[in-house]
Amino acid sequence: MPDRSVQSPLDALRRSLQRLAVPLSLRITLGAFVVSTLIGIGLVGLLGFPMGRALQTAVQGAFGDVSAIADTLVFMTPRLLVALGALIAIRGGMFNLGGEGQLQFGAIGAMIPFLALGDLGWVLIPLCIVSGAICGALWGLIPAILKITRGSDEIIVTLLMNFIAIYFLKFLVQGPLQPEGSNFNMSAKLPDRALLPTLIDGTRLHAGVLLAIVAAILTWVLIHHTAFGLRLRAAGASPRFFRLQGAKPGAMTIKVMLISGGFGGLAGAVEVMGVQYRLIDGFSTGIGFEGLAVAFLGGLEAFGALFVALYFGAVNSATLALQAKLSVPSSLAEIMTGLPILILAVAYGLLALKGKPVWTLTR
Amino acid sequence: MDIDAITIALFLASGVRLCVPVLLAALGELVSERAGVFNIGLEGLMLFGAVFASIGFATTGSPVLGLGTGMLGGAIAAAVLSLVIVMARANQIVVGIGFNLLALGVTSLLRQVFLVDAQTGSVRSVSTLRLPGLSDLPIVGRAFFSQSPVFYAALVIAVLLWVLFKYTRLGLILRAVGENASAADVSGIPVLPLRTGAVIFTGLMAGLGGAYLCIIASGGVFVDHITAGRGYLAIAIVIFARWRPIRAVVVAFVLGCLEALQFQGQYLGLDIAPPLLLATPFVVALLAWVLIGKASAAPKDLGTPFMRS
Repeated sequence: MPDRSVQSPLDALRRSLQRLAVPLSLRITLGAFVVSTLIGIGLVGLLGFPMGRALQTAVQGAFGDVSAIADTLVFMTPRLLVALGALIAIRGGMFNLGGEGQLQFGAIGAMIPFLALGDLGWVLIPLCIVSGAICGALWGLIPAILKITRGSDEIIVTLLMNFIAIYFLKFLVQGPLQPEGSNFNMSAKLPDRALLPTLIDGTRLHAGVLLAIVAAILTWVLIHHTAFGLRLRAAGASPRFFRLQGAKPGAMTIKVMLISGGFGGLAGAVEVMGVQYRLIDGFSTGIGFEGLAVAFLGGLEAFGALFVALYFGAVNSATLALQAKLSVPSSLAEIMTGLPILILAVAYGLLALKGKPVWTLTR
Repeated sequence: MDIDAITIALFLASGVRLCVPVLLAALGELVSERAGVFNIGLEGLMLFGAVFASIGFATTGSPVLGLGTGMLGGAIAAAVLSLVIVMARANQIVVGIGFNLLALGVTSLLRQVFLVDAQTGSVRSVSTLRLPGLSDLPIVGRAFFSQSPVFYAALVIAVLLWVLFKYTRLGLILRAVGENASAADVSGIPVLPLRTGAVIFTGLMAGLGGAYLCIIASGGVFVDHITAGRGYLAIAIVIFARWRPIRAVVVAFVLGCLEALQFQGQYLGLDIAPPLLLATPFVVALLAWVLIGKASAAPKDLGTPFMRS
């Protein structure tokens, strides 16, 4: 053990340089994205598509013009919102894997004000958003209550509840919410004035994108610059310490899951009000699970999640362009979103094996 | 309304048919979990089994070989997964989520590359095997003894696993690895190879489960996300069955019967919308999971990567 009290000026210099250097965890994360992007490109080549043209199409599809960037941001939005919810829960010690279900309930919730009150004009916009967030939060509350009262592990509960929510939405659009005389598995359309306004004409860019970015900033403030955020991190990092401080873990579990579920609900509401305009069976292609991956890849930090969600958004819009122009299978998007997290987990596991854990989860 | 014997027999038979894929996956997962690996990637392993089964069947025209390639596909995917979660000690939950996302994409891609205009043939040779004598019994004959050979195999495997964990040295060693990997390591037990083996066994079983879904339940046709959450359901079954193979059979059968209500419910006088019936296995698994509360029977080192300290 070196004597820490003796410090040479050189040490001070080295430390300040270290502060400037890119931290190991960030380098590994970037590496994971680079490797998975290369694998994706290789795969496109392997499938017999012209690689140069594919690459050009992909970049143009994701960032080529205003409408492409809009698509990327629109794909980013729900993934980011779910990720914010997931990371708040996980930082607070609740392994909320139920983003998909909370998203489904947010989507259902967003339809409730319109179905209950009719077309109220623009007033519906805030009502639908809030209602979606509340429905997501209530769906997220269930695992919290089960954990506190019955000690049920939230991992299994939230995973199972995802599928209950998916089938419940399917039931709604096949029955109670299906308009008379329609055979499609979807509800009636929201009135035009209740849709999220388009930010740039001629693109799909809706106001929900701004909502998600603001939510990311608020999440960062909440976690790092509020007393509640400190307690939340304490509850997640060391439940025993948290209890010994005289705090109530149960109350924290409930708050954390309400916020987390609320974000998931928001994601569903935004997807309905900005993209689908109605409730549709299968509108979420696993967005909840992708959001979880975003949260982990972003190092459970709000801004990390923002960048990763942007990458996921770009992958999705690039794949869309590749499918439209070169008929590359759209499943490329799922591969490209599943790969980085596997690579990252392996890298972290190997580092932990060498005695250099860079990333510790709450369990 | 009267419910006659044939309706009941058909209902039970359909429950059995629907329980087989989840049962196979659950039996596989049980071995992993007993050895300390919490494998959320089960859903993905089933998907790989299903797509490889479909490719095998389309290429060879033989449903038996289809089941075989499905098992092989599941095992290969599991071998890759075990490199990640056993050898590289990655976080098992994080990897599981990522692996399932990846599996959705890769299996869909494989379908688009290999199964575009795939021909399917008869699957009769693997769909029904009437056990002589027993299949003529009233009700139970039709329900339990005129099933796919895969179902009988699943039962045999369940019994073998029960024997393995109760009476054999290998079973004891596997349990030791799951209960306290460090202690097992100190006493000279090869922890990592055993865990790898357990995960690959899970892959074989989940692969067969996926292959059953594809070959026997849908005539050899693979559709994207054919598993529809059954892998997660199987995980719930394992925990609800308290890591016991015979209980897993019973639990899986009950959930299969619930799922069967969507086909036979109306003959039994039930008028419930199909999506709600599809949700019932998940609801019941959830309720059961909540009612049993804390799972004290869980292997102590479940979900913890092994680090020699």
